Amino acid sequence: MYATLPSPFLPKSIHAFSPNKTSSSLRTSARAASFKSATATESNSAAVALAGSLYEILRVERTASLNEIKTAYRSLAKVYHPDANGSSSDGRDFIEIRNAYATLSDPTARAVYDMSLGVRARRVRNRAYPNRRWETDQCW
Amino acid sequence: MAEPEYTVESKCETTEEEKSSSASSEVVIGIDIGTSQCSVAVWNGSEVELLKNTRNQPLIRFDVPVDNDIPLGEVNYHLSHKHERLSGASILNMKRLIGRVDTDRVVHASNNFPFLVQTLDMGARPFIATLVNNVWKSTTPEEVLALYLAELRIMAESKLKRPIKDVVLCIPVSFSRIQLTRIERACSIAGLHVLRLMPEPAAVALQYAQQQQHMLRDNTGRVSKRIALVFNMGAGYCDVAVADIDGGVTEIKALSGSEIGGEDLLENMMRHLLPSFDKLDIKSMGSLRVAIQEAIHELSLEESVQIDVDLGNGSRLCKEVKREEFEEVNKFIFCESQILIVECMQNAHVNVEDLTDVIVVGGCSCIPKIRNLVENLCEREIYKGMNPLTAAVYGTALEGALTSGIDDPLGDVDLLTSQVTTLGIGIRTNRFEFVPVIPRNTTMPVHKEMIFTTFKDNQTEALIVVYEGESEMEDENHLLGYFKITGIPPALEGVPEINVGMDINASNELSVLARVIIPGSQQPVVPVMELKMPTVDDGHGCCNEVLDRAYGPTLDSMIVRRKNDSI
Repeated sequence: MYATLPSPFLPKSIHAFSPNKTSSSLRTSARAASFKSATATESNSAAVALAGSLYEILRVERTASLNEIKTAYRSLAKVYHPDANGSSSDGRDFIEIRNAYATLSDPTARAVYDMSLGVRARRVRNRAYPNRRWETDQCW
Repeated sequence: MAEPEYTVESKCETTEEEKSSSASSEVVIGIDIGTSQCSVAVWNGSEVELLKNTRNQPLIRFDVPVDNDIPLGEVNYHLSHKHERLSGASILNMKRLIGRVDTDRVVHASNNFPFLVQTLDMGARPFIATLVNNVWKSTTPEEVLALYLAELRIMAESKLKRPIKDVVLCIPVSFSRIQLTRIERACSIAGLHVLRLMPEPAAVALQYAQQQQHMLRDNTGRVSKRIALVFNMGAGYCDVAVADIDGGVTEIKALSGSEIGGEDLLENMMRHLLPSFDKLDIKSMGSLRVAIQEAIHELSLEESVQIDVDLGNGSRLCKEVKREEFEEVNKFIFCESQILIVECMQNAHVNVEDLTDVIVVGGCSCIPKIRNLVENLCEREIYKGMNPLTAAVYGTALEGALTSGIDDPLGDVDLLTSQVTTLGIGIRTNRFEFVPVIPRNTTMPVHKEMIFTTFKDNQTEALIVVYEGESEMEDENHLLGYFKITGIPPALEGVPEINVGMDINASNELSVLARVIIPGSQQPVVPVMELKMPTVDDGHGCCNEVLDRAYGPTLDSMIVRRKNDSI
């Protein structure tokens, strides 16, 4: 079973968007929409990893409602989750998305995050991606 | 918001096409290995199909008769009389014994089995043997399971007329990672590659999600959001899951499980009706087992039942048993299953009024007491649209199709399940304290890190001991593995940063990494260590003790949690 999925620690391009994924995503209009908005930031290199705020990771506005955040998370999960149909992701993108969702879907954590985002944007950026630090040192 | 068009990079087109075409030719089967029976199912392109054995049974008993040296699987095999099956030359309940050490409560409770389970209480593998021509022949749960799985594979291959390699299995929530590796090993002996090991209630939730998606399509006015509680009690294990289903994504919110089940109900009844039952010889024990099992089944329909069983040597058990009596004898089991439900709802942060549906499945689901207690606790009727005995295997077949890239041109099955960890994983600090790094019910895949530090000045090595479990005391948890970091540069206590990272990928494989950093430098001072866990194998029960004896008193390699440094 170890052969099926690459180790998350192998240096590997993060957004391996494949034609396979495109066709599966375009099956329904809802998925197509989420896919398109996903590609909006995807065109930057290492989009998810280096995107600015948690809001950018989930591709929602700063003013997004809890429902919008949940919907955004679910549509992104359908593209980035390693189990998603036709996905070739190793799960790192999903972990980022999941972490962003965990903070933003919790009103208290979101309020704290929003505050820190205003005050010390740069430091928060570093703290918001602790996972990256590891891999930055390891792989890139 | 402007949405730039996305263009496909042509260079990867061919390779991806190759990949998808090879994926579609692979068939993934789903197997539910129950404690008492098994089933196999497959996605046939439009629906899930249960595969039947040559006697046309979709549910296949999980007993393995042993004939001379060779255990015979019973996938197609038929014994003329069921008492024959319990004469000492047959193995059953392997799912309860696999991967357990001889100090385990469940292994100890196995003395009513019609074969030998010898325990020496030293944290090693129990000795399991069957009586063949008056000789005890040893075997192991993995061996029996592998043999059985191989038969299931052959059966599936002959039905589907193609070779089968990949499989999705469902497993009880309370299985440790040691047990999971044993299951995987049994599969690989049987020539099967495990694509996913799915908690049983999560598999049931997936079938539910598919049903709801179909209903939605027929009746578009309905709300798509669903929160379902799945209660699954079989012969060996009881599991609960809370699943949040929305927009085709089934998010498992929380899981809880315990090794209680029909076997415990049976043992309690045996002890109640014949307190000295463990003194019976194997054959009489087998007869008693069968008679009481049948009585319990009848008590689901009748208020009282007559038991009349010949125990050999002229003795006989002849008694009337009432349903209340059965419920009274097993009240602790019922109470424990209630606790599992409450615990699961708490961990999922849902209240009774949030639940859309309550699903009760598994072999014990027809026991009136079980149905009542779930209905009372959840304040609603039990969901009716599911076969309680095949729901789990149905879900595994669906998951198999989904993870391998389903052939679904109509978009009928637009589903995704996100799983959570069933047990917390952490490391030992301060001699015996357990610090969870990845808590239980964390969505997978996941990556977490935590920073630890040295306990003494000029400490040069650090022992990282990884456990799985829920207890705050490390000795109540399962040891998964250990390793030592050496060559830490001399520094004051608390200065070196020992960063422990844990990763669980979508296939539920765990890796543990450790690196040491001295503040002021970003580079690790010694090479990073990465291990796939579990690394301990047989005798993981006594390993803990040996480790304590060797490293406990010296404190030379102990680590402590660095305060306010968790990330």
